[in-house]
Amino acid sequence: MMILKRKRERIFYFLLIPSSLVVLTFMSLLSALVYSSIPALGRFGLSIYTRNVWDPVNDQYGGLAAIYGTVVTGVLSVAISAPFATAIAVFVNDISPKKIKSFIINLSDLLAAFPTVVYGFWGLLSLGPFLSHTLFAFLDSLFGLHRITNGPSILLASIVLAIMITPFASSLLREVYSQVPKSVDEAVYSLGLGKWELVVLKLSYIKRAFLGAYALAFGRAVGETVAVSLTIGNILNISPNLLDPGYTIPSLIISQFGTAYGIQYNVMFALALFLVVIGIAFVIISRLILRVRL
Amino acid sequence: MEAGKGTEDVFNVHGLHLYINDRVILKDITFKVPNNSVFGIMGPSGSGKSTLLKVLNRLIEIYDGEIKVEGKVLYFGKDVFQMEASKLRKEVGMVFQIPNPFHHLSIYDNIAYPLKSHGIKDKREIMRIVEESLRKVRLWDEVHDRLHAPASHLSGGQQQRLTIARALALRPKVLLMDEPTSMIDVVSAQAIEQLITELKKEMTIVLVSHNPQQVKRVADYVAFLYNGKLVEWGPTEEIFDSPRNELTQKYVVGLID
Repeated sequence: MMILKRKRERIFYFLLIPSSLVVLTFMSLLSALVYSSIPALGRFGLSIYTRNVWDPVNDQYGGLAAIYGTVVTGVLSVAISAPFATAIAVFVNDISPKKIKSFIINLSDLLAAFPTVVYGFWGLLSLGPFLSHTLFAFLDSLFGLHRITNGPSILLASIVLAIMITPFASSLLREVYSQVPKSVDEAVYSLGLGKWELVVLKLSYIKRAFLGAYALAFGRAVGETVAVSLTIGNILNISPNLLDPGYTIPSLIISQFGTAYGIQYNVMFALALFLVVIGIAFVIISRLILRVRL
Repeated sequence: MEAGKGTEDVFNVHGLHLYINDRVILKDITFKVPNNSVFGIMGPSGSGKSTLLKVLNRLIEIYDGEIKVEGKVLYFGKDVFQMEASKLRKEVGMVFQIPNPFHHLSIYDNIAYPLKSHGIKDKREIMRIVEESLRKVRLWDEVHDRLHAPASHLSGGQQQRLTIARALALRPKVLLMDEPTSMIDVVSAQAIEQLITELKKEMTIVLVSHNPQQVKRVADYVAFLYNGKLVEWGPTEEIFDSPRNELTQKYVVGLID
């Protein structure tokens, strides 16, 4: 370690405190999770993650349905959001006039700052019923996906999530996109090529960062609680029918935690631990992808 | 005059003023670039050389500043600002100071992608042009066994030759070169100078350089730019041996930089 000789530089030692808080927070969160998970993992083993049963009366728990819902809504929301976020990044950087650009950027940043509960209520009360009569009815008639609710479903939650993560993902993307060097523009235009080729080449130039941005967005999507809880229907259900209600790990925890007792309480922690594992996995993946030089 | 050589001037610039964001950058510039020649533009940093070059293919328009042009810039008798920019730029290729291949594309795709975008679909024809262009810039022997490696794996000098090959693949009538050798190694720089003298058989080259000796070596005509003004222009020997202007005289012997 560097030796701090001058007196006034001793103050730098105090900078250690906030930094060590990061470590402490991580350790204490993780150990609390693990500690409270142990009784459940000891009693049910990994079947907490592999069975689909939720029977507080007989104390039988398996959160597979919530894991299924978490992964499906995460993947689906990213898939829905990706084209929109990309389109926004391209539009504000290379297509729109300057005034519209800053307008869109400011509005998009504002949307990212909206409380998630607002998205949840809006999804439940406005978007859900609307989609139920339009898109969902259309999917029903097209594929025979039967609807049992007036909106709340895995698909609705995914769409709400997609809308929520798009401002975040598009701000990451437009940042990376805007950092493509001007020499690419010069090369493209000097060859008599146009905007189409410019956009195609820039997108291929940032494709790794693109994956990284979406790994981060996925991490956000799977961790989102309130908005999903309000729009997914909260039923432990593993159904390929996206119009069926479902559950995610966070929505399961928030809706049951208040009334949980005994081993059920520990099962919640075990599921939360799994969520952390998914989250960490995605942070690692996105780091690995983003680390590669552009 | 050899057969096939037109007497028409490639560029005829008359009374050109250029303003960027209402600031005057180029003042009253008049010169002609004869066909199949190497036309050198020299001058100290900030004299407007690169800007002048970018007026010729209208690349000046892709930057953020607001452009205003007065005077005439004719390309084979046609006003460049009345032409379709993409058509003009396809015929008037450009090479930049800092080599700018598409780093993330392969060596092959750097040349093939613009060809495809310009409507050449036949794979064998594309491969033929890729090879021909790489041979012209003497890069073929160095890269023929790794055409699908990313261009970023090449050295600076190789990258610069690749960008020249990329421009040549479109069979331009003019090649604009903006200090093409100033950022690369000496050997590559010599190879590029050599290439310039060979290329003038097929096309016209406008070469911007801050190095008067390089201009003297390769250019047939030379213009001397100072502070956005064209001090004088003419055949290279005249400008170097008997400059009319005192500034030019100082510059060619290295008293101004």
